[in-house]
Amino acid sequence: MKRKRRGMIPQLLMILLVIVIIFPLYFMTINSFKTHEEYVSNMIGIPHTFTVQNYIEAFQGKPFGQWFMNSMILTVAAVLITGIIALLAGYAFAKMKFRGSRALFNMIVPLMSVPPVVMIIPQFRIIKIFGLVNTRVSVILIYVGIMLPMTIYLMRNFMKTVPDSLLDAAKIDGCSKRKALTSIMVPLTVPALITSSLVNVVWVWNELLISLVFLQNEDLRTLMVGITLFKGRFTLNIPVIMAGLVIATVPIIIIYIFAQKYLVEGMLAGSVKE
Amino acid sequence: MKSKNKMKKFTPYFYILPTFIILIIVIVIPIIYVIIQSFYSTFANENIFVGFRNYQIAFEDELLFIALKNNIKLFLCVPILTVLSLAIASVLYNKIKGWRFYRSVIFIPYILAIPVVGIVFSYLLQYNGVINSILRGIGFSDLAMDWLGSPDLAFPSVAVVIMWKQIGFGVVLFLARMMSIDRSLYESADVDGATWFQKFLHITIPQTKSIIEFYIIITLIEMLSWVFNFIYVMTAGGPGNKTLVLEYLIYKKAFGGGDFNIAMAISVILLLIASVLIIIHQIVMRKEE
Repeated sequence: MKRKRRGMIPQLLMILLVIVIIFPLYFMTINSFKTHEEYVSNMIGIPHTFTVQNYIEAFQGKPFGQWFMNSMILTVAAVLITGIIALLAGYAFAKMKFRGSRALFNMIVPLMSVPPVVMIIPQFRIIKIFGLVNTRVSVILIYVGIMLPMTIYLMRNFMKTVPDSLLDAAKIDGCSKRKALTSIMVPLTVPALITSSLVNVVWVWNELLISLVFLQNEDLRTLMVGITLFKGRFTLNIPVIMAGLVIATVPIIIIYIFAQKYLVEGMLAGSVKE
Repeated sequence: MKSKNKMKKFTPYFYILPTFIILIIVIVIPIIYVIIQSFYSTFANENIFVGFRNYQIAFEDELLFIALKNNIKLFLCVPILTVLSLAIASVLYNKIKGWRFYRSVIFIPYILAIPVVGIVFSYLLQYNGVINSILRGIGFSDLAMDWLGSPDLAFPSVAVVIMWKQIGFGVVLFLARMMSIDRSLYESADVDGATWFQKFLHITIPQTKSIIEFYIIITLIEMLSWVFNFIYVMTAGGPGNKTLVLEYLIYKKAFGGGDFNIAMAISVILLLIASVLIIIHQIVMRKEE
């Protein structure tokens, strides 16, 4: 009897917690399928008349599809570039001996905690000098810069776990360092690349401040900036806003469903030495 | 042969060169620029050295103190998050039925976009929103309030939303460490007839101590440097600056008011506070290594 009760209380607490966590998501999803009239009279219940009109409206005549594509382009480009550059640097820091290696690495790591807002004004002026105001290139450059420290940190720590003997064996076989990087390290570091890239994808996709400041041109706006403005513009039709939020969230949830292990691992390892 | 050797000596530097070019342009130069420019002011298109004048102006403005105070108040979320995460993690650690499912669900808010979270919660917390209609429905009409619009409630409401989003990270982090604790420690404690709480206090806490230190320092950094989005989306610093934080103040001064040099002086202040936390973070990290 006592045992059973001990099992019940934690279950009840966890179920309560799950409700608290899920409810806002439930609210968002369920109301995206209601008409505005129904939303007003029935905020919590499931829709009596199920409608996808809000999704059609979100895309029709509004640059929603464009925002979605803009976010996609930025995410793919920034994450790919970061991955490649971090792979090279991570390899150098983990597997090559050179003067200043330790000191340079130690200089990179703390950069991951610098508040982005502090750098915005000078970044804006630098980008103006390059004539890149309101271009995707400028935002991609900043994203890459912000993501690099954490990504290099992850890569280097991961590559450290690859035994040197494997590399030495390759060297005896007459591989050059570059060949060693491609033929041995790359297959071994694919998990690290996937892990850090997933973390980066989620970060870029969800990023607001930088795209808000640097992409003021309507055609270049990202989804996050878009939905934030959307809210101001469509306050009278809440279900349409909810449909927009669902669309913005679905890619992240898909990643979470299919790659939860990698994503969570990356998010933990990015901030903590394991 | 000799030149080939020389080339080899430089290869690692070629590998890290792209990284350094980008980091210098995107992070290092901007930080140096902010520090220098915080001592200058622009008059009629001319950059003039003004010493500490920008700082003086910043400190004469009560907004700076309001923002600082709010960031410090946000730090109070850290012990709450730590205790809650530890408690939830230790419940899940006992492998109660469905613990994997619970763990997956609790982590979801952490990966969601802050604009999405902020917008959903601003509808939930509206005066005519869902939270209040539930409260009225179960007979607590007196508790129905304008959660984000009232000066006394806006800040705690925002803090709760931030904690809702962040809680999963701590739970998963602590749970991962707890799983690596040697089970036999608990078994021998069981033999000695230790209670759940004794085991928690004498085994779980000491074994997870280093990760708790990490978590606290990382979360402090987050509460200082990464809360702009919440404020921008939910309250824009209002009502009556009750939810103003340093990041938002910098943004407002620069892009709302055009006071770029004062914004940069405030940036340096934020940077100084952040540096203290970053240094502690580095020390904790090295110690672990």
